[in-house]
Amino acid sequence: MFYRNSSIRIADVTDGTSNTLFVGERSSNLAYATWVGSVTGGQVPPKIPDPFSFGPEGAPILILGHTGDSSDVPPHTPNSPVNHVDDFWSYHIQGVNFLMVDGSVRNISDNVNPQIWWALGTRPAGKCLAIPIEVIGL
Amino acid sequence: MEKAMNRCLRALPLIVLAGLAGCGSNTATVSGKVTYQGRPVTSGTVIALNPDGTAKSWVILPDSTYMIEGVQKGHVKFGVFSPDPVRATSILKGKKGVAKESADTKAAERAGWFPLPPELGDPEKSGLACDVSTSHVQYDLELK
Repeated sequence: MFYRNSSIRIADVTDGTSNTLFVGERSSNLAYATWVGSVTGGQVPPKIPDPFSFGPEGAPILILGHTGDSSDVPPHTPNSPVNHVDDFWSYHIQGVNFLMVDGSVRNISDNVNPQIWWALGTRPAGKCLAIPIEVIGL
Repeated sequence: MEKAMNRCLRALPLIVLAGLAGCGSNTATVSGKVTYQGRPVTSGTVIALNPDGTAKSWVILPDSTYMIEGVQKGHVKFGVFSPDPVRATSILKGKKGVAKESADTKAAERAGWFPLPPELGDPEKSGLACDVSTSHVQYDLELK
């Protein structure tokens, strides 16, 4: 839904506004990212230790996150121990809270089926799972 | 009274240990080998779809084995993804976006890899399933 100069309309969310993520939680577990905007040339280093050596991400990660796709091995579902600075994480037990595009709030379980997780990050679910639409991280 | 209390406290770690050992646990560990038409699948993800619709997933190791912990007992369906190792972000691969990988590095990463039919990734369509009834189940994923 969000990217630089996004002009997505509600009508563009063809798989339903209740099935698409809008805003989600991210905690300091992963990185000390602040919500200050995408600073040109900035980088977001992971919190040390970085057990899987994923390294830093670019400035958009200061405000954006994503659900990933099947190229993440294993999938970066909410609160997954393999998550990186651009993924979603909370200190809640068993899930992460999200604001959906329709304005509802849902707790997405750590044990969500990865295929559903990937689809939640897209506007046309099932059509282009490989192109996750980014959502704002808190 | 104090004596009885002490006895109770001494028994506590035992109770905790019994819990950790999985007494009466409703979950299991599922492991096995992953092959496609007899060829070993050496990278990717296995998804175990629990009877209640939740899921657990973990990596396929280079020796084509997988192991998933915390799978619910009951009828469990499986899906297998094996994305191109050069494009994939794997915890077994390390740093992603390594600057300018050479053609040789890419070829080495792809060695032994081949794409799988996408429907095998969907536990509802893959036709892969087994009944998990004990705490450790051996289930080889023989993809066709």
